[in-house]
Amino acid sequence: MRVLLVEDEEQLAGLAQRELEREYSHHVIVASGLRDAEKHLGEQIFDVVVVDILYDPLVTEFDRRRRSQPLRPTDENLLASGLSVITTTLDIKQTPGIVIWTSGDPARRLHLIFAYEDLKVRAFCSKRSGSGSLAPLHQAIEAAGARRRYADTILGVYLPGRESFALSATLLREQAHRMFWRALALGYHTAEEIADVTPYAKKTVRNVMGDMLLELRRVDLGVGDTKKPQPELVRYASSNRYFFLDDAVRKLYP
Amino acid sequence: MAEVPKLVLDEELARSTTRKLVATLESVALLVQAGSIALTATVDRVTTNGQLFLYALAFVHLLAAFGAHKTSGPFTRGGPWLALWLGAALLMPLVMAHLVGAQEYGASPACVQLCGYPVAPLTIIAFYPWWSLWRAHLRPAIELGILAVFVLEPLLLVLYLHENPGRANYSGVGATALTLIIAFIIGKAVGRMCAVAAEAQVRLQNESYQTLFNWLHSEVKDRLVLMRQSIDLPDDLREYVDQLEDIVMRGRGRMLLAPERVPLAELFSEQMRIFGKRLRLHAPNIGALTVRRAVAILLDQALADLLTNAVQHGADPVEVGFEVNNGIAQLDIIDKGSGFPASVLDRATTSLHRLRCTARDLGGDLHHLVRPEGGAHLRLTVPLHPSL
Repeated sequence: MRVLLVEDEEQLAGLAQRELEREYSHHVIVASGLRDAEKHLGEQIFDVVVVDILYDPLVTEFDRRRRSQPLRPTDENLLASGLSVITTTLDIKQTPGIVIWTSGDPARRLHLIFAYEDLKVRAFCSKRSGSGSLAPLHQAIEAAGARRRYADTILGVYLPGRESFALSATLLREQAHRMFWRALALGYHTAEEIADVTPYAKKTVRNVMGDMLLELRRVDLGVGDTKKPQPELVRYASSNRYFFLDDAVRKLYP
Repeated sequence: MAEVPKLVLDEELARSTTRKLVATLESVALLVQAGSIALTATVDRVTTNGQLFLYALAFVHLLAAFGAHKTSGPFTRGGPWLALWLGAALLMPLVMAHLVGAQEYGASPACVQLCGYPVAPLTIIAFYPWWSLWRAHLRPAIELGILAVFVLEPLLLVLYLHENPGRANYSGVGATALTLIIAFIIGKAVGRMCAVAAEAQVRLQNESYQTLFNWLHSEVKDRLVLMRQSIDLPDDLREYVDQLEDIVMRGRGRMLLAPERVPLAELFSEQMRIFGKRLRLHAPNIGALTVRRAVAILLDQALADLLTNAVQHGADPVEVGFEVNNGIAQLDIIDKGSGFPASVLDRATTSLHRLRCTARDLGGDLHHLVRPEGGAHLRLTVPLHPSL
């Protein structure tokens, strides 16, 4: 299969490319970054695109920017991620299969759910399978190429259950709520601070916090009911800031 | 380049901690001022118009307290707001002298009229970082100057208004001075408390950092040395890589259980990785669920114990089920091994018994379910929220 592997870790990318070509006869092109990936997608035809979610250099650069200057939820560019490559891939006429090849961790869990629910990605392979072999990645590539489901047990647990409420029906449902989640994720915690960086009034911010908590409790049943939703919302937004501020998510849900 | 962690209590951190602590107190200070004005209007001998004026002033302070509570107070706002508050405190003795009459001002030996008014701003000024850091050396002199003005103002007024001030006048002025000096000292003590709170925070972070550093040094570094030494012995090298991976992942798992809320998928994922090498596992979809720390520790322990049990009894494959019903989390571990009697849960020496005790402490339980087709089925239940 013709595979585009989007991986910024040069050594890992080289290793994966060699093994996938030698052991499994795939033809692998490596893209070291998102721009590189988009360039390859515009120039060549691929059967499968293998993509990670968060790329360290992009996350580090975003964190540095966040600390050094005040960012706003409406800024054009905040954090680019592998989700951007997936949306570009989905726009291609003969859409290649997509494999998310990542290490599951708390910072990526909402991205994984979003990729499953909204971007309809069905092949998920963990980078830390334990065996050290790339056989699971090969299986995921084969499954994605044949439009079959594949999720190893390490990454599969991150995917939503059948009875889960979708992110699009909860956290991402209302435009105002999305804006407030993004403001909270950027460190604007009070109604005054949020009103300053969004086109909404303080009163609106205060009024919807209860509804936002309600939506959060649908997504995450572990979040308790409280009369003061703000601390819980702040905590959730902070620990999931890379998702709320993701450029691809913001583009699909402005 | 990765950022270098900072575990130092510098002036900047101490100042920001103080600012955050004081932000919530300013409305209370204004409320206290409103109360003392209202009390003076009621108790002290003032004219009817004076009384009305004081009640109106108390009401204005009440509104200011509300405003400070909803937004921010004079110190947090800084600049003209701070000057306005201090100016009002300086003006108040003159206002009171006018309202009660020249001979009546400072007549009580207890304290001059409305002597408590400057207490709140004077206390806050003693510790709040209202002065810029780069001119910090000037601050003590300025603070003492402000304190002196507040202390001397009633005395000068008494000397000006009374032809022959008596013992009662001096006693009242002295008591006022003492009150204001004590308020200033309390302010300094509060400042020290803020610094101590920030220091405690940094100390705690330092301890966590030290634990992590020791772990990296003793466990991770040792394995790396062994790996380097066995670079030409592929079998040994593979073994050390496995050990290192386990060490790192166990450390990661411990850190995962540190915060107040724990993402459950991460916890399951880690156990799937560990036991996936030895068991064929069917895992559930967890999604975005997070659980409180105590529940996470219980579920982590349950997965580790129950899957270890399955490995020891050769009970392959194992199905791991998880669902939440009416706020109760339910973990099922079903295997096709030889099974074991339910009485194992009652034996105090077994890990399953300890697990059941912990589950019961948290309002849940551990059950051994009958499985006619053979194998074992253990079900652990625990409420997600403590109130259930």
